[in-house]
Amino acid sequence: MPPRKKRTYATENEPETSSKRLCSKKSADSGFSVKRCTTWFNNYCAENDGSIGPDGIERFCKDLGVEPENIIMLVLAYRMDAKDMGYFTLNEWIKGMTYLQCDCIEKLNNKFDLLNASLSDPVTFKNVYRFAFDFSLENGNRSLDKPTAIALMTLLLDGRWSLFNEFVQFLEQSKFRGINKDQWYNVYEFSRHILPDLSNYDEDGAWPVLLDEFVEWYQQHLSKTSEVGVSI
Amino acid sequence: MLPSKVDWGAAAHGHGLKSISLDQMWDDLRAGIENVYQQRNMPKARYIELYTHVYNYCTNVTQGTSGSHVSLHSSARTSGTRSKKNQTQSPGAQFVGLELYKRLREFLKSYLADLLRDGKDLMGEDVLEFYTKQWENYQFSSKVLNGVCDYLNRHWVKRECDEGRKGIYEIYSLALVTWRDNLFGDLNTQVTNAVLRLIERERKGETINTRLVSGVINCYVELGLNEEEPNAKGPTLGVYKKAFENSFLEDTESFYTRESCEFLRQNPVTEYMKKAETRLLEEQRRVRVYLHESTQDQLAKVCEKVLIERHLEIFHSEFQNLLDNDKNEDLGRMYQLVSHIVEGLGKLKTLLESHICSQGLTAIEKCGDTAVNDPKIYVQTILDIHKKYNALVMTAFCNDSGFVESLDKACRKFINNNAVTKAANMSSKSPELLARYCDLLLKKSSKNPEEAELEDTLNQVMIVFKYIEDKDVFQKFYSKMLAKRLVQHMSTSDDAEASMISKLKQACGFEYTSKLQRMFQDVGVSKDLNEHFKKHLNGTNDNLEIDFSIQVLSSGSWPFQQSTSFILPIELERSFQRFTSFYSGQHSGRKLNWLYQMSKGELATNCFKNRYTLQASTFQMAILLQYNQGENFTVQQLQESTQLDMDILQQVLQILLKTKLLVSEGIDGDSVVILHPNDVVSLYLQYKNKKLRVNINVPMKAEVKQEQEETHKNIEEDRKLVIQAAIVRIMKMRKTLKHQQLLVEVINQLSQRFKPKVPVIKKCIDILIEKEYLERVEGQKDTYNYLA
Repeated sequence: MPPRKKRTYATENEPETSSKRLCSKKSADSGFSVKRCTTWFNNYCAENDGSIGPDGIERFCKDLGVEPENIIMLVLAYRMDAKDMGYFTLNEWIKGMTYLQCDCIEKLNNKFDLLNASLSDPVTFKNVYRFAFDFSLENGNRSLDKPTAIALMTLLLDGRWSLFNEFVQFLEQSKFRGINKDQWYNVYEFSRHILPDLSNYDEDGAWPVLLDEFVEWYQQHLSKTSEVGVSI
Repeated sequence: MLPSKVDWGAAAHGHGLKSISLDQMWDDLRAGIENVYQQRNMPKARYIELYTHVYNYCTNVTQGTSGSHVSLHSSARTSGTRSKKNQTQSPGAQFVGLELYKRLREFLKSYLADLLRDGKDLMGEDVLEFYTKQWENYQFSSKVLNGVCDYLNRHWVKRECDEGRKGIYEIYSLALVTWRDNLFGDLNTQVTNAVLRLIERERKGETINTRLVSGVINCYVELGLNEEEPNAKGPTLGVYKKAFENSFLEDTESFYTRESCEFLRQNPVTEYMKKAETRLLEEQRRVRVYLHESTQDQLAKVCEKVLIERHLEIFHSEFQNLLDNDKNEDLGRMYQLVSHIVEGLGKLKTLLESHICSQGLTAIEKCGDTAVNDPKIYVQTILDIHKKYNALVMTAFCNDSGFVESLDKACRKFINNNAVTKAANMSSKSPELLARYCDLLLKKSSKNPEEAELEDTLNQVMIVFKYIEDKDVFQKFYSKMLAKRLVQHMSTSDDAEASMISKLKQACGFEYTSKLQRMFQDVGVSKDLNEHFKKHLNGTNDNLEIDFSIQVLSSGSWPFQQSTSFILPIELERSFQRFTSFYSGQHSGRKLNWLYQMSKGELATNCFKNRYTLQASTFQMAILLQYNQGENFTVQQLQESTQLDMDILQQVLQILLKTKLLVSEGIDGDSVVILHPNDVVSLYLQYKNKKLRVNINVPMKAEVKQEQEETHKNIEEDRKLVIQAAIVRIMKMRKTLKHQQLLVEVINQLSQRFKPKVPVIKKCIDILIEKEYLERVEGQKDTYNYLA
């Protein structure tokens, strides 16, 4: 997950937790146990209110061997149906881990490939993509501010959409200060259904104005770059 | 002379019961028939003899059997009664008829063969003379013969036909058939040719003997027997068509093809049209006079095809010429001709539309520079074009709905999108100019037209109004100007104002004019209020020393904004107080917002050489009244004492400087300057004016322009709200709707007010989605749901 601007990173090394101890080879082969899962949770839980906070998540990521910005974390959060970015409650943890049938780090490691692969399923991907928006929203807001939106979008769409870079370029120079839910959802739909040459885009159709303006901008952009190309 | 009844008794008596052989009877009969066909006069007795031969033959000739047959008849005879019903089924009677019939047929055949010999070498008019004369005679004779053979017809022939035997006809029909198969069969080509040649000569201008033609035609028509039902009434025209009509139509086609092409090569199209018109009428007459009526339609079609349809392209290019040169009569002629062709008018309509549009655009472009600021010229130019082409459509094009539509389309185009709107960079310039024109008409001025003329002009305004797309813009400007007129009591006629409002209501509905109506009402109410106030003052013996009147306006209906900061001059304080307490006494709970910027008054000057009366705005008065206290003030001081915003103060001072009532050192009142807070503004004691009554309450040009621009901007915002309201209304009713349908419905609903652009509607949809009035339906990308 992209790190919150507010958070400060804990730079010193944490003492090695007992999480590894918990998950012995034997337990890796055994079935799912809620108790074990809960204990695992408590390992990271440093906050007083019984939830894993940003620091705990960082440790968790380290143990897992991924950066916090890895998309895997987003998928995990999705499975947990987590409400706030940067925090996992016990219930969320149990929910997600039960779905994945993981009660220790090794089991989770084994599920890595599965989790990554699940993103190739369009339905799952769409759900994760949509979930990401609400998840990243700050309380009370209806839109994501531009930088956050771009960062989140990069995580999800970079490499999965041929026009992604152009879209980011457009967004950055546009007057839009944020992305609301409708626009967020439709960007994904656009990436899935509209051809790279935009030949099947209907500007009188039901697309949000944001995308109409992107198309307009992109077409101008194309003619400009092609001019440049010719002059060379 | 044909006997209609036969006195059988007398006839029968003469012959008695002896059996008669056909041969015996035939000789005499034949002789008689020959006489008939030689057109010899026949006395009645002889006719009856012949008739009796036939009768006897049919009834008495025996072929071996039928003893009973005879007795039957004798009993009939002795009883003395006539009995038509004695058509017995006795076998003998069946064959009694065929022999006679055969012989009759033979006779006719040989008669016609002889005739043919005489005629078959004839040509031209000769053959026609021959044919028609012979035919007439033959017809007549055959009818006589038919009468003679009446009994045969009614019994034997009838029975044969009833039993379905082919080739047996009543004698008259037999005569026709024989003519057809013999004489006609051989001669008809010559005859038809001769007829066609005659017609050709007539077309070329000669006079011909039309009786020859009509005679032939009548013959052909008569010959068209229905073989299947020889007794069926009425001709079937088969012969007519085959032997004549088809060739006639072919001939016609080639004749006119040649003629029209030749003519067009050497003559202008306008002349050609006249010729075509003449030819069409001529052919119609031709049918009426000597052809069969059934030919009318086909002939018309052929002529139209050849004379008009083949040359449509030439017509089309000429049409543009005629339009350019305003040749209304020729245009009318072309319309009449081309309207015969299915779909022929389509191109003409298109040409007309683009012509009117370009004429309109050119006319406006010509007056473009002045028109931008002179509503009268603008509207008049439009009306001139409209009047001209409306007249054209009504006369030359017979008010054809398709052409009316072309006019409308063209007007809509050039009225909403022309040099003036381009110069102002907005399509809503047109409605603004139209509204300003109305203001000119309805405002009191030195040259107000008569009531009837004014009504007329307003009607003309409505014509243009109909074509305006952005009707909401018109409404906004109109209501602003109406408000000013009402408040400043500048209406030239209340009736005219009311009339205009009702015209707008008719065109746009109640909602459009409700605010205007309200404004009107308020003025009336204020009048009463003033009366009451005066009475009240008189009643309390409270003399205000100032003539004070107010207008109370209901805030929702009037397009005025709140007042800015301002302190009322002391001199007016008292009136203010008195009225306020009076009004709250009348209507407790209502709040009065004083619109000082709309108020005005009159000042009497005692400080100049002459005693002037200045008509001034309240702001102007506030400033001028300061000079009761001194001759010089700084701008700062003026600002403090009046509490006016600096911008407004600047504007007011600007005008006062222009009038030369006030002066400031180093400042030229005619140019636009910014005054500094420390600038001193002094009263100009040497002020002079030709008039004693001076109106200094005129707005600055810049101010006016600014206001107009503001109005336009507001309109954009208003429209967004209107669109959103429409979307919510529609979605509330439909609950679920597809994107395209929503667009269509929004445009439809608002079409009376203005034409919303699709991008703007989409923006509004976005806004409503974000505000959670609507949502997109999951899985159906272009469908929306209403969120209650």
